[in-house]
Amino acid sequence: MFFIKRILIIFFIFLVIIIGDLVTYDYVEKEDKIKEISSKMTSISPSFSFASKEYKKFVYDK
Amino acid sequence: MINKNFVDFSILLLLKDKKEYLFSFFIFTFIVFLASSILFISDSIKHDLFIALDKQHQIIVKNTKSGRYTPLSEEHIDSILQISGVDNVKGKVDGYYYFAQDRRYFHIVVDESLDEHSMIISSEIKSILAKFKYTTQFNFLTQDGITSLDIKKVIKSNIISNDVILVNEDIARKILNMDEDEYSYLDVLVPNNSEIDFISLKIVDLYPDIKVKTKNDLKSDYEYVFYYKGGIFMILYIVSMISFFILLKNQISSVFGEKKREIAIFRSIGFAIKDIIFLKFIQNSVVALCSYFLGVFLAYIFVFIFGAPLLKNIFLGHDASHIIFTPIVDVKTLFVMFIFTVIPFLASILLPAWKIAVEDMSEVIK
Repeated sequence: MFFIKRILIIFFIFLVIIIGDLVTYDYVEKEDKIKEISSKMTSISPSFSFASKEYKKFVYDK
Repeated sequence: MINKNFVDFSILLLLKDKKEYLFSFFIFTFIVFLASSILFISDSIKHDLFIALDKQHQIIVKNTKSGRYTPLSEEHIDSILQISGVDNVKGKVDGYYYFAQDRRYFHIVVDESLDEHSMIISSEIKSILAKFKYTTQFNFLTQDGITSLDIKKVIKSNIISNDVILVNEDIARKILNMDEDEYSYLDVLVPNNSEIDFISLKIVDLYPDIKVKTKNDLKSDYEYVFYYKGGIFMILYIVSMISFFILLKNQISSVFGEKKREIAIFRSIGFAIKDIIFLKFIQNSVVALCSYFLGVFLAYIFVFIFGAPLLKNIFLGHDASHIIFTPIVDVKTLFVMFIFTVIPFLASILLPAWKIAVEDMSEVIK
């Protein structure tokens, strides 16, 4: 039982870190920034490359 | 009824044979970690893209000639405005500038609030320009010579703005070498949503070479890319699945190996079949649950706290160091992953253990 309790304590610490990160993240600010820039674009396309031909076609043709 | 002493005995046995269980534990944790990391990254990118899509117009019109995109003219705007149901058509200037020194494209986007001498860039572009000593201004090489613009502001890089430079419309035309009456795209405003598909068909009827994209088309394009067909996602999922099957095979063979004698001894000293199944269930549940939760927790920390150092480059390319993933946790998918990993893992131990436990013990010990 001591072993299980020790594992539960470790997982609890992980959970606190994750919940803390989720709660403190400013989703509203990020959404506003994305909306602000996307409203200026006519046709949005993700600004990253991708290691598949299909995806490159998607990025550059759309 | 769970007996505390029996649970303690099971855990003691597990710790005694910890070397045997460590292999399963590490492989299982790695599989869950990899699958969860892919899931977190794709969900985060998808979330940001769908937010961006909210601000898009219902219909986007692009012109093509010989399969390549060409500018649209005022004539296109006038003709599309004649279609009943269309409220407004806006011509937009937008395109890519090739920055030869770094062999990459910058996305030129119009911002009407800017004057003819300034521009806004993303933090990613800022660091690229800084490498070439462009810290306060940048020189665009155009058909008419050099156009110098001052860097007015730097915006945070995100999935949309990573390669963006915002400039005045006249400057955008100059950089992209477009005439006064030329447009890259047309935004078509349709007040009635139920008419969007019909109006799209009408536009294609008018100009067969024109490509029409509705907001729903764009949404399904994104879904398609981040669905299982998206190349890299598919490869990583296959790697996870193959590793998982190897793990299951290892589990089954471990039961038929040395564990077979252990089960026979337990039966000989008076353990019932259900006791042996329960003992194996406790031991492997501890391994499976610890691996699963550790894999998910580590994946979260790796992706959202440390920014997925190696996986990020695979997904976003090497110029994405400034992009921060939005923490998005899809509990439903994690639950499905739990069902499809933990249950087969337990089944791969419990079924062979039961099969051995019901055999004739004198034969097993021989």
